[in-house]
Amino acid sequence: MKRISITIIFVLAAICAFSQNVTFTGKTSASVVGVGQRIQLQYDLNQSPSSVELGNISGFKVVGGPSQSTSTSISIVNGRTTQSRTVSYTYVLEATSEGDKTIGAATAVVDGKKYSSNTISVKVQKEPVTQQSRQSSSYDPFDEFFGSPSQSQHRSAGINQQSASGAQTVSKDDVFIRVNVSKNSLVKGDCLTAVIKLYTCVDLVSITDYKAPSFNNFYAEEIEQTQNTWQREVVNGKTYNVSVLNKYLLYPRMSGSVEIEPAEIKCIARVRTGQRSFWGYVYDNVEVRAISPKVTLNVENLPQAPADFCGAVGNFKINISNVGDSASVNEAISYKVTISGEGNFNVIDAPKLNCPNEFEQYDPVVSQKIKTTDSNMSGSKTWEYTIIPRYGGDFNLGNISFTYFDKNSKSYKTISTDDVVISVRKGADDNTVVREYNSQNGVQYINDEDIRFVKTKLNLVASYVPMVFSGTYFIWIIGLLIVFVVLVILMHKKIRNQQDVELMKRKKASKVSRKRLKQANKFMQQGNKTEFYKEIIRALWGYASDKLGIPTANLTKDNVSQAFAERNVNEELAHNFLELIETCEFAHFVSAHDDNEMQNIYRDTVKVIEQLEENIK
Amino acid sequence: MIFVSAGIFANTVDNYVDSALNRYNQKDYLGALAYYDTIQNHEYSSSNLYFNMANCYYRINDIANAVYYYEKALLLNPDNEDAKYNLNIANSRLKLKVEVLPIPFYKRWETKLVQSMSSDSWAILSIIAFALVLLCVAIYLFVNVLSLRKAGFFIAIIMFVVFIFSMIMAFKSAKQITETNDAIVYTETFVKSSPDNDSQNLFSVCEGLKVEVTDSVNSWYNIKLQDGKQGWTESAAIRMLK
Repeated sequence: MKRISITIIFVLAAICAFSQNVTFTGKTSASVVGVGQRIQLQYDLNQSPSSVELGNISGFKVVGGPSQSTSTSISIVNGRTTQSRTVSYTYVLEATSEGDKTIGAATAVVDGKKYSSNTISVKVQKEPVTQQSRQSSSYDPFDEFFGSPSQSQHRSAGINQQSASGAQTVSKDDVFIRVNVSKNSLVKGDCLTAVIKLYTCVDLVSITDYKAPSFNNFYAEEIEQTQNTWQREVVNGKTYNVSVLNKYLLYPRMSGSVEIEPAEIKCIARVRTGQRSFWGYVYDNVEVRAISPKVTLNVENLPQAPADFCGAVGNFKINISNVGDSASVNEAISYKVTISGEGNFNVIDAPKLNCPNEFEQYDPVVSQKIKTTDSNMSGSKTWEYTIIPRYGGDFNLGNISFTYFDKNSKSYKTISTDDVVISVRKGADDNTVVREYNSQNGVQYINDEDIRFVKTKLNLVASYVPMVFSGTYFIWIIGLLIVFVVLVILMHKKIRNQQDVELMKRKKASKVSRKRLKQANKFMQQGNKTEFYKEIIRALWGYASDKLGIPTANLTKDNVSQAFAERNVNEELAHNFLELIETCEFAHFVSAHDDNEMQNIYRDTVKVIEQLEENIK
Repeated sequence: MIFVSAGIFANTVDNYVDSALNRYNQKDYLGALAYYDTIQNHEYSSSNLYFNMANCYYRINDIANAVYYYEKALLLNPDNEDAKYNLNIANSRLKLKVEVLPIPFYKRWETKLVQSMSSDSWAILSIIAFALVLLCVAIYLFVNVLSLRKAGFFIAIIMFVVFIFSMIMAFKSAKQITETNDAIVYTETFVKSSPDNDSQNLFSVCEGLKVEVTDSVNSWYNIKLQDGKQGWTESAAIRMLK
């Protein structure tokens, strides 16, 4: 029964809720706020919306929220039940700029309808407002036993209680932050320590925000602290609890007056409200913002520096590892250079090796062991070079020098190592590597040389065309060919003419001799011996001359017999021929021959010529 | 009339050569170049002219032009030792080094052989060889002495081979001059993957680098580096050696 009635009540309540008008109001936790401080912005609705959107919040930025909370209250008065339901959206805003700001109307969507809230005006001022936090807490006596050491210390110190009953306020003098520098003037490259300290004479609950200086004009190295403890210090007759927030080693990058940007801190201080409750004092948490004063340093420039000065200031030593005095070609040599001492190691670059060109050099591997102390950086920086000799021989690797500014004597000092002399033995495969080396580093060799001088004779050619394309070439070839052909034709004709004459003579040889023989026959019948023999001799000689191609002037018996031999004429036949000529010549002078003999000779002659005709083709 | 004017011009060209040399000695390299340009504008050329121009460009630190004219000098006369030497120095000053791909030995020998003489020297050699061929053929045909005829026959065959070979060399060498596809990069630029500006950058080439043009599309050339890398570049960035 009871359950049913409760259910009915809820249903009714829901119906009531729906019948209600939508209210949408906004409020802020404070109407005056300092730049950098935070306020809460809360929107309340009596219906749950599907979405809520912030309006224009220029001058603020949202740092938290929205956080949603719902509360429902049911009141029964004189039997009448009223139920109210509140949905609230809370944002945390931080003021970013000064002036009178208006937080624009937010919009909420309920059942598809849009509702807008009121606008809220907030004054943002430069100075931080000592602002009462929303929840005030009462002082808990047990805190003394369980609280933080700082608080208990504070308590026991018992300072800063203006009056036993009066309300506490937090002034600028109560909480402040300072950047303490070890010196205000120094030379460029030297270092100083900057200590950032928080001074307080009130209870600090927590630090909400801390911005260390950005040290734009410095090379900053943080010094690690052992422990963050509170110490006491008296400033202007007031005792403060002091905490070291950070310690830095600073190297100015510029000369002249150099500024260290201020540090900023926000913390929550706990102060008494002045009220007392049953338990004791009532305390409030107050947010305090403190900015450190600017620190200006005077940085002097260094005197005129030598060319190889890299900016190192301090006190240094240079060392090289033992390279050894011999190596072989292509064997990697480790060459370590160490600079140790005290000073600004960060600016020291790799020292330059003056290796001869015969060595191939690789970029060094850097390792450093540097400790940052309160006064300076100290330690060592090592560069390990790898060099590879590519040729054999004795080489001086030179020395390595390093220039720094000595703080104590206020002058530049150049320190250098001893020369390193190394003898490189030739390896077995020397040649192959030398070639490779040349192709890699040949540039260095060639850069030392200059181009050769211009030519004084230009051998200019008007519009040069290669001979083979200009036609000259073919004119030459064709010209030569024509000369050759003409020559051949001429020669050929001459040869043929000559050959023709001989052939004719040869062909006619027997004919001519036959004519002569006929004549001889005539002389024989007439009994004219002398003419007969003359004619026979003529016939024989003529035949030999024509047939063998021997000119008449050269006609001798030897020549003829030689010609017969060349033409493979039967030896007997040749002999007969020559004997016949002899007989005739003999008979020609001795006229004591009869007709019979003439007849024999005539017959023999005809026979010999006929046989020769058959033999000689 | 023509001969007279040609003679007068030849005289002035000689003057130009002398003036240019004077300017060069006075370290007025631009002045010397102006004279060399005039000579070139009159259609005169020679390996040595290009060599001198290249020297001037080298002195005024115009490495791209220096390399261009050294290459041109070597094209006309592959035997120009000074040009080879200076080109090597000029190349060593390029921002980019390109590893030359190993060339097969037969190709290396071939270019060495072709370049051992200028085209004209090869041509003259082949003409002499041809004349000897004809002479030996004539001896073979018309001389009755057997040993002479034999010698004539064989020498003719050998000379004929020499003739054909040197003729081929002369043509090859001439072709290299007139039909070379080599070019020199004049502006430092990125080489693209395809012939348009939006395509991807493959690699960059620096001024004075020698490249081979293998193809062209509109105003784009496909270039090939000596290390075998290929890509497209705008024609304005390079200058052909032809």
